Amino acid sequence: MSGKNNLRFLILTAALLAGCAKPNYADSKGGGEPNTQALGSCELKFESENLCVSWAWENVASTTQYGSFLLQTAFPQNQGLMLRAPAAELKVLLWMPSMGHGSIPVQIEMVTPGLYRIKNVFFIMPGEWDLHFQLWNGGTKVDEATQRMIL
Amino acid sequence: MKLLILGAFFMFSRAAMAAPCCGGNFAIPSLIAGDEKAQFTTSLATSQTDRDVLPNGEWVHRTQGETTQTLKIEAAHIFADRWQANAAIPVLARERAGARSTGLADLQVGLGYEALPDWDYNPYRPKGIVFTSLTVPTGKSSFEAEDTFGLEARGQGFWALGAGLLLTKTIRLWDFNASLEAHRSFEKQVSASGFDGTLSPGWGGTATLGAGFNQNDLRLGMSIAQSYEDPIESRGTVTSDGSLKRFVTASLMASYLVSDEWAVTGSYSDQSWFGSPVNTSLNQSLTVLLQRRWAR
Repeated sequence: MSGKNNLRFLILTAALLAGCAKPNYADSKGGGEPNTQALGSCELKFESENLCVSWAWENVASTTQYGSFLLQTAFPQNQGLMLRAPAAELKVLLWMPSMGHGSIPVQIEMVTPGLYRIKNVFFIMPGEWDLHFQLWNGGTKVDEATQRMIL
Repeated sequence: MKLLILGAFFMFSRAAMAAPCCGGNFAIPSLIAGDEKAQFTTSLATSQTDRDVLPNGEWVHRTQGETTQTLKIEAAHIFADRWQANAAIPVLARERAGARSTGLADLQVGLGYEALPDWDYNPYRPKGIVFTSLTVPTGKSSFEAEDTFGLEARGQGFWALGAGLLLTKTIRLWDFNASLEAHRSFEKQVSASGFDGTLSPGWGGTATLGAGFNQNDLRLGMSIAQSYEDPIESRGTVTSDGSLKRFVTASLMASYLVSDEWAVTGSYSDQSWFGSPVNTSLNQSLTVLLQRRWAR
């Protein structure tokens, strides 16, 4: 191989190597306990009804298995929180904001007014997911609290 | 002369670019890059998805991988001296954890015009074809799929109109190709169990560089393609701005000219080798491609 060809080969090889992907693997929480919260907190709120929204896994959902969590809506009082069902209709949606799609619909089962079991929770792929807790009045969304999680 | 035929025959026999998520991908149309009157291509690809890249660029291994088989039939025909029409019909079978879904993906039709002919076999000037493409959302999309894993998603879900330029050149035993394609996907009203509202995609595009070495009836080639998609905004039951998608597909291919009319290609593509992918699933694909051409 001539010197000129050697130089071309070196330049091409360097260009290819410079373009190589450099994977930065995230500390995946998939299959573990993504963003576990405790019931009784007030980090999320339905402002329209002054209700604290909190949730906690019963069975952790992942990209391989269905799960369920408890969702609590409660009115803040001096001594703490008092369970209270929202006046508007409660909906829960799973949404992958980066991809622009959701997952299969969840099922909402009322345990007692202000405490709900959200079943059939499944994430179809890893990535950023939003849990949308929504209040609907007729066909209008009146309030929303969103929890971001990474699987 | 045989080298010219071989190079032109194969230089744009692209490896099937597998779907980043979650179904078919926008593809550069099947174009006649040589001196043929017509060509018919059928390809079978199998791809594996085992990693995803988050919007912040972090990579995540999948606990449960997914495989996709793609059967694609493509045809292209010259209908005037420098004009050509083409169409592609892909059928996808997606499989994960024993669940499987098979069906039609997005159809694609297009037109090409040989804007820069190479009648005198100029040693330097490339041959250039400008093209347009229309993507018909015949495949279910990720926001319409209703199965557990979203395997029913075999398409993008949007009508899309694209245009681009393909340049090809053969120099001695080597052939080179470069293409640039841009497309615009159009807004869609969706009313599904998981979402009710408007999804607004945007612009996307792919830039490809490829080269091949031709010896007798054999061609060894490689290509690298950078793809980009604008974020998909959602306005409805859920409001989000989306994130842009970016990935690079590298392909290695070996082609054999069985006769002047028939050729076979085997290729391997990998989306984890190059670039800085963002907000995408990464695939590795094996493709076998059979091509028949009719000379002018």
